[in-house]
Amino acid sequence: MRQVSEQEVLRVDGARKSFRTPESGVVTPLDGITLSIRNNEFLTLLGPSGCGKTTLLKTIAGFEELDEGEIFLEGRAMSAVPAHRRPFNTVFQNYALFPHMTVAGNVGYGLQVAGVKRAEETARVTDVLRLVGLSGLERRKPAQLSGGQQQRVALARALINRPRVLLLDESLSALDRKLRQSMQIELKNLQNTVGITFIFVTHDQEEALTMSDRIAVMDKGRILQLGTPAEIYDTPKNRFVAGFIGTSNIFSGTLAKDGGTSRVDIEGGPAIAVTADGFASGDKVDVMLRPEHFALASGRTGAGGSLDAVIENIVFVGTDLHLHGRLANGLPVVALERHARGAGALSLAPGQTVTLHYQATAPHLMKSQAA
Amino acid sequence: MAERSTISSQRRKALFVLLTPITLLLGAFFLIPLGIMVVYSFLEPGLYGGVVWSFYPYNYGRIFGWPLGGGEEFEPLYIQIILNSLYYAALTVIVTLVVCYPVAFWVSRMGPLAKNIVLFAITLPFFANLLVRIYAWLLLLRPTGAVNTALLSLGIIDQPLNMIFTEFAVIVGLVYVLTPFMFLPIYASVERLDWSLVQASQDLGATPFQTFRRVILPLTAPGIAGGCVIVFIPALGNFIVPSFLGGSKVQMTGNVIERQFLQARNWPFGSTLAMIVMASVLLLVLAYTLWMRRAANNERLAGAGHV
Amino acid sequence: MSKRRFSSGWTALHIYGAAFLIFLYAPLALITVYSFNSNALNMAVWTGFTFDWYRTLFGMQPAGAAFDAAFTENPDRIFGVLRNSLIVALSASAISTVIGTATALATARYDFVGKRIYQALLFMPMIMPDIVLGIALLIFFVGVGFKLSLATIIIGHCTFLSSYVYIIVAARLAGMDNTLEVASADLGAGPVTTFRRVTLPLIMPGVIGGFLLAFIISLDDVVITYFIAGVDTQTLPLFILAMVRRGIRPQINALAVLLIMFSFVVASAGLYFRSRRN
Repeated sequence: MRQVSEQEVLRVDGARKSFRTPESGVVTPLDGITLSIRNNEFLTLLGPSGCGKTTLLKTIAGFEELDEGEIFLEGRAMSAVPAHRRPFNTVFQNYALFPHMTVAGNVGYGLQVAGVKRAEETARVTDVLRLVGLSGLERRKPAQLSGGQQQRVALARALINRPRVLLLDESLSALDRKLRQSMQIELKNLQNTVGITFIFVTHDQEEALTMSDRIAVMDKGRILQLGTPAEIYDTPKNRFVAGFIGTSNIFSGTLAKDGGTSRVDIEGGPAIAVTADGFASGDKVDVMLRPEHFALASGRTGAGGSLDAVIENIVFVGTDLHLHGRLANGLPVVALERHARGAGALSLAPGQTVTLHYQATAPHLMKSQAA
Repeated sequence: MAERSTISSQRRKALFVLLTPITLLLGAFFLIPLGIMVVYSFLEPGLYGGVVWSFYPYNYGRIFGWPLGGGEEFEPLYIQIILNSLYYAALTVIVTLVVCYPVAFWVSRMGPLAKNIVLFAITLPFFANLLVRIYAWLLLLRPTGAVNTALLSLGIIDQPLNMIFTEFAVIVGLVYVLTPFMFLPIYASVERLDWSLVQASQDLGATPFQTFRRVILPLTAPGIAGGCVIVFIPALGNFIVPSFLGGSKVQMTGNVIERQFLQARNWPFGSTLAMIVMASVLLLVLAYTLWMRRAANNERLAGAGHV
Repeated sequence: MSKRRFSSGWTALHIYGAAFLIFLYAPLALITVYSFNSNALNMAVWTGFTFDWYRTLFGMQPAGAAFDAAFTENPDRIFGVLRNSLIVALSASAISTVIGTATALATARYDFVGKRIYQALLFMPMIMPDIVLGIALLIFFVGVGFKLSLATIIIGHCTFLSSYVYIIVAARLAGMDNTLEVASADLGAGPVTTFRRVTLPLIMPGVIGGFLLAFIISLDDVVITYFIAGVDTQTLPLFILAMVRRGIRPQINALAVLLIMFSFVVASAGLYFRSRRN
């Protein structure tokens, strides 16, 4: 069974890389990244396209060089080590299966080039194919496999070398939604079985939340926040992270502390009651409220507050109702109501004004990025 | 910092190994020979095929009208032959274009199997020996050849037609030899043609001729231009076809160059004529490249997303 | 109405296309028929089937009684010419395949200063009229004191064959996913192993196709060879050229047919490999 320890396996130290492209001038995919990766953890690099996450993965793998900084594997500098000598293996976005080799040939390739004996190779190929559920397909060519099967071959091929770190580059993005969801679970189980550090690159926040031990949210070549999925979701550091992970309502305003209570005055609109440790009165702040923090029912106990909103649109998604509305000052707001069959929420209609209640602990304060 | 460059130094080493052979080959046996040829065209012809190493612009003078005199006279015949060559090459381009354009549409509308077979059939003769293909036309066109024999025996003519050693024979020979060069680029652009655009044009009320002129022709223009360039070039410098099928009556620049090198042994003058051929070719290729680049830019500016 | 017009246009196009194919093949068919015609005086009149032109080409006695030995070629000569042609075509196409493939790998897999210049330079030998390249090489070889020989012909052929191979292999590489090579490195294979196990097998059809097409273009080359072959070295096309200049004789037909057949077989194989997918 996998044991995540605090012990560091890989460290990226001050990684910087930029290049010039004819289309958009100087691009800086890595703008001073420092990151410590723990033994056996599942770390996800999450960010929009062009944020530098794939470049970071490629420099770890050794496919691209850093301009500045260093990558250490258990304290050993890697920049002088070419890709084929690094104990990392990659599952590529398009799988990159060798079309002229069979499944067994693809999977056994790493062992062959390492000079492993034929008998051992065969045994290990059989084992790893069983692990990924592809027993019996040894003699197929990649073109004869489905997308999901190709994905598993790529995984088996990367795992058979027992890498110190497995790098996965948007590895699930080519699969359709259903298959992707089941592969997410399977990948997680697989990691638990093999006990290898996984670094996973994705732009899909849902995927990141589902699988990761920790997530590094990246934008413009920097890591904005590194933390567990719950930390990232509940206490994002800034507006970008809050907006990128999940759905959120983010309001800008000024913090006002008044004795024991604090509130954020939203420009031209209502105030939101908050708890504001570590902030001073008069600070420009962003305040985040997740849609699920709102409740239509007012009967809750404890301190809190409410916002009035006019409903513009109601989206029924099965388990939930998404209420899209506007505050009095015109700012959009989204609230989520759990759908219970026959419950009153269904009687809501666009145009109606509702009161959205929240608890005092729900609003999350962030330093305003404009400041 | 020193060991950081291992990956790039490995790349540099690999590039060096990969590029050295072609650099040496084309440097030593292509660029330098062409450079020497340029120099030769400005040297004075010596006795018995040699050269005198002094600047001598009169090789060009003999052709364009500033001769040295004393046996090296201005000879308008050379300009005439150069113009004739340009004319024959242009005529060859036009004939091959007219011949190949409909065939490209014929092939592009076939099923996959028939298409592959016909494409193969059209490409294959290109690989038959050039001499043999021209020789075949000698057998067809000469007074006792197949065409005359057939026409005589059918009673259509009572005298053999005089076809060999005429401009007609030279053009036929050039067209026959160069047809694949025209067909393949045109076919490639016709194959890429999006037929829904043709249907859209018809749908919008264009007559077949309007559709052809406003939609089909502009979209296949790159293939036409490419075909024209790569037919014109070998046609211009050809000397085997005119020497087989043109005899002494129809001459092209290539024949004069050949004679200067292998009979008259005036290499500087032969180089001068070759320079004129090469300059024409390079100008044409330059014009084509600029035109293609402009067309590509226009397409990009128009933001046309369709492939 | 419009459907009918379309289908009648289609019929016309069929006829036109067929005529085009006849135009391409009729001259070659004619030589083939002539090569079996026993009429020594007028090829255009069929007098009977014979293998004599093929026999006498290789120094064998004619089977037909009508022919005297004067028609018989010297077999040593034609075999010498064949040998020369094969040496030139094999060496030139082998060298060009290596050089063209190496160049294609460089331009397809690396970014370097002057890449566009290389790409433009590689097109130059193909767009240069043969006669210009032929005389430039002649001046060069004579100028630097190379004796005109098979070696000069081989070098001359390499200058333009490398470009042909380059284009075919580069097209193949462009169609190949280069993350496969990255994947190979990722799995622990060094550059040489990656080339041997991944790159080469995947571009092999292009390499073989390029080799075969280069071989046949070299074997058939007349113009460049014409200028840079010494007086005492003759290749097959030059031999045919000399034969035709001496006068049209039925043996030329026989030799022409053999050459066409050989070219067609090799070129077919080359085209097949070039277009083959994995």
